[in-house]
Amino acid sequence: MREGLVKAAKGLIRAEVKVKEGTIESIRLSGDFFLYPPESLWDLERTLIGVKVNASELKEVIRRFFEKNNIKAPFIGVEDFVKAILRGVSVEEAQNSNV
Amino acid sequence: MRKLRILMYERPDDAYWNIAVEEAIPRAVSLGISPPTLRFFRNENAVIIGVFQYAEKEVNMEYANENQIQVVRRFTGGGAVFHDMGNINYALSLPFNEFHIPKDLVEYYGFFIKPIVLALKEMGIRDVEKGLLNDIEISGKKVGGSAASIKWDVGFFHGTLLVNTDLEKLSNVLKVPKTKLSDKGVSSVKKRVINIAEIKPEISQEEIVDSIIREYSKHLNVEVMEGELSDKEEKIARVLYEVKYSKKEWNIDRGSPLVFDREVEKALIDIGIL
Repeated sequence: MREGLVKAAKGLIRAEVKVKEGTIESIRLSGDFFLYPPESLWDLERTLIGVKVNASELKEVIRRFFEKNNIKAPFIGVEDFVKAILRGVSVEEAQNSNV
Repeated sequence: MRKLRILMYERPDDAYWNIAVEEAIPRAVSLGISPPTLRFFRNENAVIIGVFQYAEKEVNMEYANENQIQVVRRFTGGGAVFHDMGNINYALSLPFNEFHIPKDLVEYYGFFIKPIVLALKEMGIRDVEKGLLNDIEISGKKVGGSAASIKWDVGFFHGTLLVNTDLEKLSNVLKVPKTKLSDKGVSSVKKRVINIAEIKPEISQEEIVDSIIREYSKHLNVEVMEGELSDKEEKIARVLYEVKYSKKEWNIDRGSPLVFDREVEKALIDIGIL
C-alpha cells in the first residue's frame, strides 16, 4: 500500500488511504507528531471514512474536527494532514475511482 | 516547602514493566495516592515507540527479534527511541493543583525542558539547547527526546538522554525515513544523534542524575526526598502491564488508547483503586 509522507515543522505524518468511488474507505494516520488529546487521532480516522478525496473537502472536515474537539497539535497543521492524505492515496485506486 | 519524591526504580530487563510503571505514577499522583515525583530508570535493550506510531514502520523488526530488543509503545506522542544501559530516562509527574505550569503547549514543554538543558550546561556541556519543541540538542545533534501529557490533571513529562548508548545498534534497529533527515543535511541516524560521552567522557550517569535533580528542585522550588515505589503504584502498574503494555494489540497493532484505558479503569475498580 502506498504511503503519503509529510514532514511538518514538528513531526512526520504517514497516511495510508484506501479509496473507493472517490471516497475514503479506510485510512491509517500515524507518525511521530504530538496531538492532544491523543485518542482524537482514532476519532479523526473514523471521521474521515466516507469523505471525498479532494483537498478542499478534506481540509474542511479536518478543520471542523480540530475545532470541535479542541485539538492541539504543536507545529503541525490541518494542511499537513490534508497533504499526507492526498499523497497516501494509491494511484491505481485513485484512477479507478476517477478522482 | 513542597516536596518532590525522587524515585530510582527500574527493571532494566523488562521494558514492558518499566513503561507500565511509567503510566502508573502519573495515575497515582492524579488520584492523590502518590506525591509529586521525579523518576529515573533505564531499559537494557528496548525500542519505545510513540503512541501514534506503528512498530512495523519505525522498527527493523527482524533485527529487533534477532537481538531480543523489546518493542513497547508508550502513552505519549513523539518518535521511536532506542534504550540501552547507556541511556537515562527521566519522568516527572506534577499535579496541576500544586504546581503552576504554563497552559500553552509550547511553553509547557519549555517549562519542563529548561532544567534538563541547564543541568547539562552545569556540567560543562556548551552548545546544548532545546530544539523546536521537545528535542535537546548539542551542536545541532539530538542528545535527548521528550514527550508530555496533559491528562489526569497532572503535568507529566518524560525524556531520554543519550550518555553512552550503542549508536550502531540504535541506527540498526530504528528505521528513519529519508524525508525526516533531508532537511537536516545528514544522511544517517548516527550523524543525527550524539552521546554525552562524546563531549564529556568523564561524566558519570550519577552525576547527570544529580545535576538534573538539583535543577528541577530549584526550578520547581521543592525539597527533594528519596522514595520507593508504593504497593498501590505497583498494583496500578500490574494492571497496566497485564491489560496494556504486555499486549501485542497495544505495542504492535497500535490499538486505540480509549479501548485499553476502558479496560484498565475497569480493572482498577475491581482491585479497589478507583
